[in-house]
Amino acid sequence: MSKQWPPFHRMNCDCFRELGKSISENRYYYDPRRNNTITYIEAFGNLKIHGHWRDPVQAAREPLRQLLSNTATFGNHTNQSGTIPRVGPMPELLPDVWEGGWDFTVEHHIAQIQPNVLIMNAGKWPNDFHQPAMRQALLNATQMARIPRVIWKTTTADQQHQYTRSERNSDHAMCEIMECFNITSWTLLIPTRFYHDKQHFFEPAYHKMNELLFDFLGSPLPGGRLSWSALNISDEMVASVVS
Amino acid sequence: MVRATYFTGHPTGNQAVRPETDVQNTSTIGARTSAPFRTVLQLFGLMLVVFGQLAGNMSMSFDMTITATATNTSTKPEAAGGPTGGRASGPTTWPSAQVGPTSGPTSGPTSVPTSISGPTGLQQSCPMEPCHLNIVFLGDSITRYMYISLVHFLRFNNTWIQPCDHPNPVIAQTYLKENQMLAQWTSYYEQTMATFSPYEL
Repeated sequence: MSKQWPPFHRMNCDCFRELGKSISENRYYYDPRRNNTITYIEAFGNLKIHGHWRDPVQAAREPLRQLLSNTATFGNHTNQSGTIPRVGPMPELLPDVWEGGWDFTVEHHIAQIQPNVLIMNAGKWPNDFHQPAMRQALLNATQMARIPRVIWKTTTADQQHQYTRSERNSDHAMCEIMECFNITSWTLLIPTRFYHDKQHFFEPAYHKMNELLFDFLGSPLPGGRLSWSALNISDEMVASVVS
Repeated sequence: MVRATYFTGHPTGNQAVRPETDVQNTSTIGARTSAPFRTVLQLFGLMLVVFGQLAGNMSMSFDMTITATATNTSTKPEAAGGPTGGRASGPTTWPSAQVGPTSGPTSGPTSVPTSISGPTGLQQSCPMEPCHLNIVFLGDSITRYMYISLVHFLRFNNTWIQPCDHPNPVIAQTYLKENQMLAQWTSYYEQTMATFSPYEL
């Protein structure tokens, strides 16, 4: 008999961050009414990817309270007081129950979710994606995981409109072996005032990225289209970088 | 550390397959017929295909029936010579993503449509709202905020986060109390979870 999940959408966050310690932020969103499963796994370049929840499907579908009381899911960790720790977000650093590189994460963690689409990007973190062996290992992992569409999202320009050679080398190399969703070209056009720090944007930058992503996937999102002028970019400027 | 010893094998996973393109044999239409008649048949067939596509677009179906695209690697940014870490000059002009002023469906760069059907459940249509999505984002903080933006759109009935929203889910700092260090993100984690899991916390 299959397990009955509560009929509400939810996001469970395997999250922890503390200065000088581990950073963890994996988010599992599930909407049973629309059958949408949207997952984020945090990956910073060559740093190990890791988490505290073994089963990503269960992590997305079970209420947090049940998850926290299920030691079979999280291992038998206990906190200093000897009680079951609160995780997601966690008030303290706990041992990970899985960790690995990009290929391991795809083949063993993400594969359990059986996604239709996997979108990856190393961003501005130091990485070795320019090395053929690493690329091949990741490509093999996506094939083992039987993911229908594997997409490399290129790195965005920063507030000074810099896009480094190393970033470009990695993007270029990855785009040789999988689908390439290029957002570098137009983010180079975004005015400085749309950045709230050196790297990160205000909306509607992410809104526009998602619109373009779903266009790229061939399933445009409903609703009106965000004009480029909302980002102070003219159609002519956009046309000039994609022509 | 327990290193994922719970995995007992490769996931049975997605049974999606990549069938050959379904348009490759159109030239065999009417192979035993005369040339003019074969041309008429082909034109009629083409009209049916075009009409079908128009009807499909109008149906506002957002199921994730997959259309595979071959990555276009023919036009890439110029080779980046020299040591890594330097600044690349000029805008990159990869034609990969549909970023032009035009809108509407696209299958990506100079795509080679290879009709791919996902698992059976993905072939259902969902008028006016995205459904049957199963997407994984793996990456850095920009990817995280893109993810948060998408989830907000799905959670709140096709409504995007507004630039003036406060606190703002794509700006973690707006959730921090004044005396909190930037690295103490607990309130951001808790409140964004509460936003997207309203019935549980």
